[in-house]
Amino acid sequence: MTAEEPDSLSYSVFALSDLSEDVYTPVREAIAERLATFTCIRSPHLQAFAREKVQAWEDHGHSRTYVLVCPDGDDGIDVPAFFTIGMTSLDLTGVSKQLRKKLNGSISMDFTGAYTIAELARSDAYTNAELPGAVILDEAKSIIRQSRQLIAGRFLVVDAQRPVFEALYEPAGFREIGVAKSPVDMPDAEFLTACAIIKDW
Amino acid sequence: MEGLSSMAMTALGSAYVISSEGAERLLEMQEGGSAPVSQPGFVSGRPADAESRDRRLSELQRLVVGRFRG
Repeated sequence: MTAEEPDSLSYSVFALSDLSEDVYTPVREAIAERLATFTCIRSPHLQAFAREKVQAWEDHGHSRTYVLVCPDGDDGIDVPAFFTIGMTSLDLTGVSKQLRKKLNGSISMDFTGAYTIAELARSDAYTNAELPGAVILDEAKSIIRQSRQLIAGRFLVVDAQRPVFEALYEPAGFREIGVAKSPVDMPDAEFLTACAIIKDW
Repeated sequence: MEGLSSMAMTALGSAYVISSEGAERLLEMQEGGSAPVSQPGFVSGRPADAESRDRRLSELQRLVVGRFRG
């Protein structure tokens, strides 16, 4: 468990896949219970993902979900935050050949792979002082760093609402690269696509 | 109480089509170097070695099982 600041939450991070062994069934079930009641009023999509869909995405190998877990007096443990990481691609076919060459180090590529933080959420039950968004993001980045060291990669992409981008992603080195289509269930939300360069991680 | 959320689930099932302006931006970013891996002083709650993971999971196991014994 970590404890960085006096007011900060002490937590530990696990991949859901860490919990697959039978011996950890009680922990796995407790975490599933916590996810089933995860509250994030700001995003019905994200709340529904945590409550209903996370395991299916995990089981099919589309993404990996990591949970931050902390002790909780009444319930044993709680899940104050989680994030989901996967892979996507950048389609460069609409870009001039000259620009593509510059971007790809003179290697011809129409598409290039990218990591994506597909979900990142803190429960409404916790404050930014207890668990800063930057800490959750750093945990996600540390996983991506390990993956990049093993299999390479240059880009990390995320879709976020502008206030979240400005407060969380921009200070962490992400830059806006375009406007993404809003996810289902959030038709009115303004999302933007942001990218960070990770080739030296 | 304050929530935090961001998402790109749609990205897992499709490609981002990059415009010329987007590519220019990426090139500019690439020439500027990589983003920081973390904030100064960040300490991960997920030490990488398996032994640490097992110990941390056992600690959680005690907390979860303990609530039924309390």
